[in-house]
Amino acid sequence: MLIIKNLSKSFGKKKVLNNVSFCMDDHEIVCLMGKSGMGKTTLLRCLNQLETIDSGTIQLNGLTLSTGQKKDKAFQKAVGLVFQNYNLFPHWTILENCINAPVYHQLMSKKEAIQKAESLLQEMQILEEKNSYPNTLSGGQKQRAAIVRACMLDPKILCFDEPTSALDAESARKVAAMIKELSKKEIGILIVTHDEHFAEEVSTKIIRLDELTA
Amino acid sequence: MKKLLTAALVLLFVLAGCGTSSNTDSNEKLIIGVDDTFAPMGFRDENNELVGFDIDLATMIAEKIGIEIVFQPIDWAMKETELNSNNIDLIWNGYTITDKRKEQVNFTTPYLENRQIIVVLADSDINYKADLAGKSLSVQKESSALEAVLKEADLAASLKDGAPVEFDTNIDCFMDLEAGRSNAIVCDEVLARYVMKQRGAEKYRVLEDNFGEEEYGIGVRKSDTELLEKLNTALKDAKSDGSYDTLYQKWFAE
Amino acid sequence: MLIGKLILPLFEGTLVTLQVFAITFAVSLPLAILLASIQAARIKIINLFFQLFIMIERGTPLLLQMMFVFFGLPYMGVTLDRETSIYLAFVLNYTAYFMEILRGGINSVDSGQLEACQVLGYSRFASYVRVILPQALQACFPSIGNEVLTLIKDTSLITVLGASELLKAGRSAVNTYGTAVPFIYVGIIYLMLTTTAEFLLKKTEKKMDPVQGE
Repeated sequence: MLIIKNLSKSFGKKKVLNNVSFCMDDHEIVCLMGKSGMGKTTLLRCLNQLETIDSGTIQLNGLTLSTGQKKDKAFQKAVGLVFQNYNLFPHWTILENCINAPVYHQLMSKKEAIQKAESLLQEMQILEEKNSYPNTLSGGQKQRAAIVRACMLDPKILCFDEPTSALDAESARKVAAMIKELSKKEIGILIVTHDEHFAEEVSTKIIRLDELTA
Repeated sequence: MKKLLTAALVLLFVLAGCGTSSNTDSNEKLIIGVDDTFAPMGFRDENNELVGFDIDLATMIAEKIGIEIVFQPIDWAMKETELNSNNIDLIWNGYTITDKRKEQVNFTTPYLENRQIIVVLADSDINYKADLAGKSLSVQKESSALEAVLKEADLAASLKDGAPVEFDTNIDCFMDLEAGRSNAIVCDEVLARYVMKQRGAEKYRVLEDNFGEEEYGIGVRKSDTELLEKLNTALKDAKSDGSYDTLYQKWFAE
Repeated sequence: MLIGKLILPLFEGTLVTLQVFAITFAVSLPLAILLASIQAARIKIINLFFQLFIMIERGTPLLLQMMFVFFGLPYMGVTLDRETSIYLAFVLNYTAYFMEILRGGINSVDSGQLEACQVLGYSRFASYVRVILPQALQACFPSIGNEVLTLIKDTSLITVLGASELLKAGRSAVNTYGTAVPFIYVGIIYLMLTTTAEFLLKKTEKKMDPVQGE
């Protein structure tokens, strides 16, 4: 259960998030919509602790983020993010991209990590690319690799920032199907998008940020 | 990565360590600064060994005095700095005695005579010093030849561009002369004769005019007066007992 | 034959050239990586010091620096021998150049890479060592290669402290035999050294590039 209460964030004088509150469940697929500049991405970044919070709280399964606190590692691990441009590590193969973080955190042995990564890559239909480097992959393939990378740490909430921005309609449908599959594993999905079709197709709930903001 | 860094740092310290330690034991030996590109006084033979008239002479004199010596190649332009910062103890390599140098170092009694001769190409129309006006004249930089030319200020000013052209080495001067860029060069006779022999004496002509006679001496630090005396005595012995002549014949007899 | 008389002196000169090159390179590049990494941590006082150091090292001729170390430092009570002076001057100078190149390389790495590391829970140190630095090194490899070639040629400066490297061996032979021919051999040896270095650099660059490397 993710609960966001009275979240506010400004950059200088510009108030980007103004008193935003909403909540979502582990099995939900929530699409966060709104015009650009409404702070959708900023909200995702706050949730992933890439930005600090000015006021308000974010709660997730008993963990709390609030103003002026240091990075919460447990919280960090409970949230995953698929960046808009994926940000895969170009000097590592797809498999290395996936296994290095869980091995670094000593969540599993390298062998276990490889097994887990391979089965996830299989689900995402890019297992044959496991030894390729990111720059040789198509946008859709990179996105799926980024999803596997995030899922390797077993997040409770997985965030997507504009997942369809670089995809054609066909690939967008494909990723929608995969997101739905993921959701069955008790992973809450939070998607920032402005693609109405995609949102209709994939989400169980649509939240419009302009309606939330007081 | 970490290992590499550690290795690098260790290496740096070891280097620094070597540096300070080796300085102390070199104090027992006399360090002679030489220009090892200066044939026939000091240069490298085909085995890369240091040879030459001055090298032989220094070895002989050191034996007479009973001291150990090491030769240290130096950049000739830095010789007085090397001496006065105690990096070397003697300058001994075709080192011409001049008034300007006497301000910085003490000289032993002269051990070899030398002239600053003017060399031109065999077919040159330059016959006298006066013909040099408006011509390009080259000399080795920081050399006594340069000093000798500059001493005759009017002549120096009359040269093309109002000054001699300075090259790193005398061979550069000879090559520039042959290339036709320089019209004449001024150079130690000892060296010039050696070079001309190497390159073919028939290509050149030596003018009767010259830029003065000079003498070679050994440069000693002003504070090392005791050493100066020892060197002078040994040089005198060498000349009187004939060993100097033997050496002279070896290097300069035609 | 002239060439027979030149072989040994030129060979020994080449050894000195190679030694100065190898030691300078082997010390200054790792040192520069270490210092550039400290610099990347953006600690004000330390970086001010680095800026001053780089300004002096890049703003004055290496020849002057060498003369200063050997002839100037004794006036301040620090007397170093010839070899140490050469290595000290060369290492400091090349460290400064490598640091500037590395700084550029580090800055060129997309900020999204660091954010991806944060989201995956890597510590600052781990992010830097595992993700940023490898990419920075790859990005600035061509510039480092350039410096390597310059370094090979710069070794000829050490004659000012009386060291007998390749160029001086050539000059000495020119004076001894009264012909410019040794310079041709010297040129050929330098070309052999630089083309070998270039070949090795190209090979390493290919190896480092994940896409071309396999």
